[in-house]
Amino acid sequence: MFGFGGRFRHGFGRGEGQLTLARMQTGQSGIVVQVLSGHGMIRRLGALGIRPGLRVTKVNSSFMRGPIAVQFGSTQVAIGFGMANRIVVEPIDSRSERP
Amino acid sequence: MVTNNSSKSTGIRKVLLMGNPNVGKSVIFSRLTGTRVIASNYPGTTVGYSHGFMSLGEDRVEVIDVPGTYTLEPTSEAEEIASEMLDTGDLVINVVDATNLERNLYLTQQLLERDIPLIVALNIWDETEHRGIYIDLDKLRERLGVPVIPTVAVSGQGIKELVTGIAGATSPDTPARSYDERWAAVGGIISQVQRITHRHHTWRERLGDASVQPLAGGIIAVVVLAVAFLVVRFIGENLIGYVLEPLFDNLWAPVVLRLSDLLGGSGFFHNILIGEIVAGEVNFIESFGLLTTGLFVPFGMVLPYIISFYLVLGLFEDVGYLPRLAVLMDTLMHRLGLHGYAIIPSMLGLGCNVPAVLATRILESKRERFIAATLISIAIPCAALQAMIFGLVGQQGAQYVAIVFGTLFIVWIILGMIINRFAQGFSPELLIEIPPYRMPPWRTVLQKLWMRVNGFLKEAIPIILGAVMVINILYTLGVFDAIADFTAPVVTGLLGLPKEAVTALVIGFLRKDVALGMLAPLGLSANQLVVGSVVLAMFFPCVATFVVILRELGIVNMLKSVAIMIATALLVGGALNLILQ
Repeated sequence: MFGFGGRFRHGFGRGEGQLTLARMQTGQSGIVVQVLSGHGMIRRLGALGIRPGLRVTKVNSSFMRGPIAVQFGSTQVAIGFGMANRIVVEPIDSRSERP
Repeated sequence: MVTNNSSKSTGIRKVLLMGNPNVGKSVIFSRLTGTRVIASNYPGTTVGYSHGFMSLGEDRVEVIDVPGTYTLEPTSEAEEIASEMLDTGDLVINVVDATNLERNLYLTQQLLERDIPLIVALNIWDETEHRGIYIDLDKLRERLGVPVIPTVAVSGQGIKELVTGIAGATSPDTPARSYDERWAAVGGIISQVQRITHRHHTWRERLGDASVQPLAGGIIAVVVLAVAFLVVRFIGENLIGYVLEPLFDNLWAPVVLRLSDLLGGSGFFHNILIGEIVAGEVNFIESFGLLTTGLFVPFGMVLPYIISFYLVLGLFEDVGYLPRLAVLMDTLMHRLGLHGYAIIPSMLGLGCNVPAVLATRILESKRERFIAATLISIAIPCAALQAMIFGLVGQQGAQYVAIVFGTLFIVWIILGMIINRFAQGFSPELLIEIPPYRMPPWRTVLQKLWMRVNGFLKEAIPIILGAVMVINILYTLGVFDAIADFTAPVVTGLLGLPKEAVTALVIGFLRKDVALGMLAPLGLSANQLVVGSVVLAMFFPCVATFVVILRELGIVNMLKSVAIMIATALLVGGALNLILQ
């Protein structure tokens, strides 16, 4: 995430240390803080269980703005890059949930 | 068929099976009703709804397999349908994935708020233990206030208990709540009834994760698709070479020759039944009689590939690979105005365009569905047509088959980019659940294969025989000659084909496999065969696909779609003719 500098850290009224799902590193976990989007998308994501307070782990790395796959519980969901870029997460220090 | 022993009438007329996508509703539906339906390991297999009947006491009760939904607030077409259906039912069996309890319970909360008796089938129960998930069933029952029956639909475990439990279904008095309140309720239940212990990741999960990585996943995809292609070819070719051709040549040909003698060797009926016998030999491809070409095309050339293709596709579906392919293809598909999930209808199209166009319902917007359906019917040849391309064009050399498929692939991409530029509206982003890899249960794979092969036999063979009949009659009446003269400037001038080739394009409306077969007796060069195959594939959908496109897109968009097809076919056919000459 260092490569993206302050622009992505401070845009959209994001708190210190927060970043979007799209910018998380592979294997990194975080707590969803908010979804910076309209009502419709918040509902679509919410229906799948993705809502503030949820702990997610990023499964894949994205290439050419490909979708982001995240794991929570035993569910895995693929989220289009643009949408993933509007999901703000607070990263959890232990970089990986997996041993 | 499962029957309930208690004999009193319950007053229930219609039972709805509802739940999140890919939790096994369709398998439970099959178990309850004895009706076979297609089930797969990816969300959205059921796009329409199936209904069947089960016995409940002395009643015959209608059961409806409602398309999967995450919520009753309609965010997609499937959810709209599900929400509407809810008002028509007397009882809901809420199928819940026990390995995904938290997310599944949101819909359950919404169902509880409705005034309809509810029973929960806690499906995929067998997988909870090795995933380290422990669910306190009694506490879950207590918290939900409705019966909860653990089930394993694929093995049939718990189905009897589910049927018996229906009598106890209730509708606890639950007030309507907000989105956040429902999630809070779910959170409260989960914290009390579910315990998840840490466990190591299985190789299946590691493989699952690897197959959505851009690089590793890309390599896996190339290998998997190449192996799939080789397996389809291998099974198809060997079925033809070692089973069907010998059957036709050694057993059926003598019968046909005998019959030909009985009919006097010529005449109208002889032509329709047997066609032309040249030098005492039956040519099953070129003679064009009902009993020769009419049987050889469906059984000797197409059926083997239908079997091999659907076997491999069924494995893909049940393992759960397709959603991962959707993730990998997403970036490319966005260029075509689609998102990655459109790869699923496209793959189905390689079998038959009819279910493929139906499956475009898994896409959210009208625009995507228009693009996907148009691209499928132009650039994705069905298994029957592919079998004929392998059979006829393949005789000229594999490079010509490669040109046909390469051209179609390039058209798929370029045309998609063009339509994407001009079509109105926007295409939403990918948002799908990726199911875990599962070992495909052989019984269901073979059952599904049988359903699809059976579907082909029942639906295709009458049309194939009808098409051969029509061809003979039109020839006899001289109609084809008139059409051929009329269209000669386009067919000969633009496409470089003999003017008689137009008959294939006309018959292509009935069946494309028979139509391609009509090019065989014309003595075309390899390049002409390539042009003919490509134009035939793109020109116009077969009648079955045409009807589905009309129904799914509406008349205006269907006309637009057809205009694009004809224009593209002529343009590409003409260009190909110039390049190959």
